[in-house]
Amino acid sequence: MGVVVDALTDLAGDKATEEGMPALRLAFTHTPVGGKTTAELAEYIAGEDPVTGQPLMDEILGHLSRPLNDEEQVTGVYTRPRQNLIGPDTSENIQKYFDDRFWSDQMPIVMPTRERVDEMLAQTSHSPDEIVGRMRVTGVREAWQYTVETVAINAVMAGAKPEYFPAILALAASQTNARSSSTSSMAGMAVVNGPIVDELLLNSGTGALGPYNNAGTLIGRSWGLLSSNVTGGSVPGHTYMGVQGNPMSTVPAVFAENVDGLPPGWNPLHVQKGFDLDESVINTFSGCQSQNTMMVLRDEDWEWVLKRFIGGIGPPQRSAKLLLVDPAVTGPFVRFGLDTKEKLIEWVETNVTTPKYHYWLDQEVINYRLGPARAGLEPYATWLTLPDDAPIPYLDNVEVVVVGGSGNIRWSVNECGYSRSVRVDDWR
Amino acid sequence: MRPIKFGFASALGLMLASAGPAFAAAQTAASGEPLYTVLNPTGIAPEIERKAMAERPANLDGRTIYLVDVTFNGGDLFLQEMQKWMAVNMPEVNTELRIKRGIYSADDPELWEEIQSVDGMMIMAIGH
Repeated sequence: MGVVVDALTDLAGDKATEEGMPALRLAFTHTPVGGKTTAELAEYIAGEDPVTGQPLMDEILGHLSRPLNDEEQVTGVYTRPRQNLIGPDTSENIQKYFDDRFWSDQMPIVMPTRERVDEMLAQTSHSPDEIVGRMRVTGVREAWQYTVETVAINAVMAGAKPEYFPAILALAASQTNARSSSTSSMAGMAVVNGPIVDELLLNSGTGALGPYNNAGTLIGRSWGLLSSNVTGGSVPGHTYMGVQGNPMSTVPAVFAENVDGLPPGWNPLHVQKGFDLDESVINTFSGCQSQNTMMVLRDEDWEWVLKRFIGGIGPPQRSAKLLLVDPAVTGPFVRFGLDTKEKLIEWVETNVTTPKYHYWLDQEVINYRLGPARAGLEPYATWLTLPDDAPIPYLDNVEVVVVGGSGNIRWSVNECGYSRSVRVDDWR
Repeated sequence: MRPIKFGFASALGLMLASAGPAFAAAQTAASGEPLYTVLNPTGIAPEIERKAMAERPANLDGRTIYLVDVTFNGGDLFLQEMQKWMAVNMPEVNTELRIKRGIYSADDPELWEEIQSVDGMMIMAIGH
């Protein structure tokens, strides 16, 4: 049986169902458990289950010793019914039907009629019933499949132009969820390279990350909607658990790299990932949570500032960072000897550190790294044995993208982690 | 806001269940407003294989209950307090406090085998 905090009541039931145990016996205690004193936790245990109102330990002991009922002994395979068509009804009622199920992003949608979906499907040679991929709301939840037609339905809902569809299919094929259910309120981000940028008029300059670019906004909205819907919906408490939410997950940022602003020696992101310069590629990022901006680095103290700036964003369990460098501030990086993106990445991954003592006191590190470290997984197992003041170089997924309109000497860093690159032409 | 439950059925949903084949293009409501038939935007759910729950003993006297921590947000402290409660209130029951191997979602076959070998029981707790 499981004991779960009451904030996860619905989620625990969903997860038990996904694992084939809808009758799993669960008991609940108060939220949160983390951060409480032993005296407070003892009160929880001597108290009541906040969901059922029963004495918690009586309930637990009953769960362990009460004979099984018929429902708890059911075996076999079952499938969940799916209604393909909805309506006929008015657009207002259908909008409400979608809003109530969290199939929309709570903004007005374009009605995904057969005719509109077919118009979208005409932009690709792929069969409507071809499986594009599998996606989960988080890494530990069930994987749902989705077809080319399902992606088209979500693209229509977002208001995307049909010519955007191959790029949207490429995003779907990345299998990157732009609206993860993590309690840490993650979002996705996508960087586009190649001829598709000019074809769709994607923005790489002023305001590239949003707003005001039609292709970026509508491809991003399509990605957000499909991320929710192809995983079965994004329902708060069930399949969306972001504690505070994240405005970046409403319409994920989709923008182009400013390749004209790359200094000599810095390659476009898709070339770094092994594609040819003239290929159209969408590169996805996930885990985007916070973004901070600073001004140009100065020769006198750039190393100190860079370590403080990047190291100050996010807890050390998160090993990813995305450096969004405006063309106006690339010059100093090159002058400091970081004349390729790879050298800059290596510098960051080597020099941004945190002392071992503080690393292992971080709650996220405890949650996600301590168990693997105890099980012998490197480098965490070794990091457990270091002296307290030893520097832990915890970053291992750093990327650099040049973007921005150079209206000032500013640049930024986001917690995004690189996920995957997909060729757009494969989905025409 | 109150989250909806899966299996939610609105009046519209009940109506749709009996709507049959739809031909939206030429249809209008009595008010003259156009009617739409739209496609479902959700993906394909995997099949679920149901599992029977483990048989329960008639009582817990002399049994060993494993309290299994998954190393997440203070679950270890919670289980330590539960173990203390059991020692005071259920002295006839044995308890073993264990840390599951690996990250919280990882399998730990060795621990499951150990629990089965002593015909033990398990309470797993995840803090949050």
